[in-house]
Amino acid sequence: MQKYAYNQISLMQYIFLLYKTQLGIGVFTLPRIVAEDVGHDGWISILLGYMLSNIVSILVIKLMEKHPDQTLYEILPCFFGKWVGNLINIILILFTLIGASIVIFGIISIVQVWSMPKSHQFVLMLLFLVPVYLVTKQGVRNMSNYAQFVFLFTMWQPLLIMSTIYDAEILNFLPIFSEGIPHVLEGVRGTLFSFMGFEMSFFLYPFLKDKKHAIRGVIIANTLCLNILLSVTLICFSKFSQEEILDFIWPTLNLLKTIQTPVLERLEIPFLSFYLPVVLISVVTYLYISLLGITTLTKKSNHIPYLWIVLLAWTILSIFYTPSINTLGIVSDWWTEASIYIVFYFSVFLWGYSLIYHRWQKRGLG
Amino acid sequence: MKYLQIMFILILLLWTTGCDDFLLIEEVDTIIVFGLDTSDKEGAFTFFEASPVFSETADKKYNIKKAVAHSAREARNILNAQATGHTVGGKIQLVILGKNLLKEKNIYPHLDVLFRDPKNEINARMLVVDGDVDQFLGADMKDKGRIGIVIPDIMRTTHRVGGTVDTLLLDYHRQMMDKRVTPSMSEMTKMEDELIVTGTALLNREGLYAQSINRRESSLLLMLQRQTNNPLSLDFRLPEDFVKAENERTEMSINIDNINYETQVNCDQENFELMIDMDIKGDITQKLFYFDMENRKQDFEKQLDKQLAEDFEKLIAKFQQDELDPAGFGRYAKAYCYPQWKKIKNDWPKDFAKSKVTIRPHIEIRDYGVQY
Repeated sequence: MQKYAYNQISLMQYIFLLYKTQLGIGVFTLPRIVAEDVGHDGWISILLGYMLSNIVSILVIKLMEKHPDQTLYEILPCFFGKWVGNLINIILILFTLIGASIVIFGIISIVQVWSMPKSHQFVLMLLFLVPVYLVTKQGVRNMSNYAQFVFLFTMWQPLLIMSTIYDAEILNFLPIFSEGIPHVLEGVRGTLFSFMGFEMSFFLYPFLKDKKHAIRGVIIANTLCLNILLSVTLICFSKFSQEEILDFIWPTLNLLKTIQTPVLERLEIPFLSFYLPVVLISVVTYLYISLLGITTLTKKSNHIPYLWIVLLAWTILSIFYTPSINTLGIVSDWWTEASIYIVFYFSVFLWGYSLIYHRWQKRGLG
Repeated sequence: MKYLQIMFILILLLWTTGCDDFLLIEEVDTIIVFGLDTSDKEGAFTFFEASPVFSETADKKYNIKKAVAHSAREARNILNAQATGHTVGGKIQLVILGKNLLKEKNIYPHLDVLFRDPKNEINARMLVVDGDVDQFLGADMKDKGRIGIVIPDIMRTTHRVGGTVDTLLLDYHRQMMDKRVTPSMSEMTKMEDELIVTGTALLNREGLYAQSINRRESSLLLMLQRQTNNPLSLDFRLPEDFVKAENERTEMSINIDNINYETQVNCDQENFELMIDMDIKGDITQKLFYFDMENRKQDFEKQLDKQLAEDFEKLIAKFQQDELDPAGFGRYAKAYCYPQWKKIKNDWPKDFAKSKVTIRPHIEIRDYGVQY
């Protein structure tokens, strides 16, 4: 049953789609979050968060290898029976849908604060939804092509961030493990939000053509993501003092603001504008995965009617309700908390369950 | 369906704000200089804003407005009422603070609007004026040019030869927030009709003006801050019996362009102890006397080391007297003595006043020019 064969993606496309899904709005706030949780040792927490993400990614792929032609939405009813399985499916659909909503409302509020203070949220929402609609409509292969294009299109962005490294203060990183190792471990929790996105393997694995190298793909995606997160955090920590980072809501953008060129000023504005396609990939992927869940649940083959419903709901919501920075922060904290349970704990549990399930099934057959 | 899609996109395009919201440069009041000084009114400040004038009918090239208000936003409202166009704050090059004001009040909270609004430029330079800001801005600029361009240029060139620090608005923000340093910024004054950089003004932890250091001491401060990207020029006057001068001139100058630092920190004592070895590579640029360099170069270098070490000692004593740490020695304290640092982190400058800091310069003369 090669249900997803019509929309197959190559390993390269798989990597870029995962990587660009991971890079969302987390990169703007991560330096502050780890500084709040850990202090100047925060970058070690990011490394640990990366390792944890890798371990869970491998478990996810190991689990999916046994069901190469099914997404998680189809596996769960098999494992837990129709009712419980579909209940978990609904939770997953809500989780991904809320994730997409947080990212799109978050990026709109950032754009409003930094570059377009006079534009109404509704206008920005309408404009952002055009690419979201066009990309999501076509399914996974189109999304991956878009991710590949965006990767090439924004290759200069890490270089711009690197260019702020002058005047770095190495002493800011000493002493290492100042508050002890347990303190650093506590901070890992806060970094996981930024790595979120690799769990899309649950749903993208069936689309992957070259399934042998899936583990390699997911680790490469995590590493690319780590590269950006770690370099942004290290540069922020070396340029700003700890007290100062806590004062900035989006330290990464403040970092770009320090660039001085003879003619151009405020380079964070072009940076932010060109970063929008990257953020929209997160929106598109989460949105598509939730739509995929709805179509699986309702046994329809076309996801576009549901896409229209979601886009319409977002547009209407954007007219009547403007979330403040605080509300967004609280909602994304909830979502992060939920994602730790859903992605990390649940993945590990599911992997363990699948081992028992398959052994039990074999015995049943034998 | 295709037709509908195109229609949909066209309808969306109608919503874009694009070109209907534009500004003509003649109609914009671009603030280049932002100033703050004391006022007679209780609790209020005098705010200054200088902006260039592009109108061809105007005689002067720039325009200075002032207003007495309690906060920067309030002042902006008053100044907007005088402006000929839309006021834009995104191009501020210079923030001028009156010394008298800094002696009384920490102005950091009052500059909040510059940091909070992302439209404002944070790469502006900070300047303390010895005297009245009003008079300073009123200097005769006929032979110089636009005030907002000229003053930052003077400050930049002075910094390049080591005469003052180069504190941008974002550096000031960092220095105020950072518990390991105290703020420092360039100081200028008006001498007759010339504007001159007198050195560096040092602020204490509370953000109040504490003392000033001259241009030579500023060079030493830059060496301590490790800001030696540009070659620093240091002048010396050697003791007469050392030179055995025949023509009674004992002055000389060297250009320093490369310093290697080695730091030793001792946390075991009651007070923090720091020893910095500076390996300085320098070239002689001026020497008003004859000295047998071929055979006695070592002696000569030792003499310079001794004098420089004394100068550093005096400077650091001067800092400690007012509990100032503009060089940021607190960074070493935090990095190498973290357990002790945690106890004193909220008033490091007080602890610094009791610390022992030794600077040991080792000058190596590489080049004498074309004559001994």
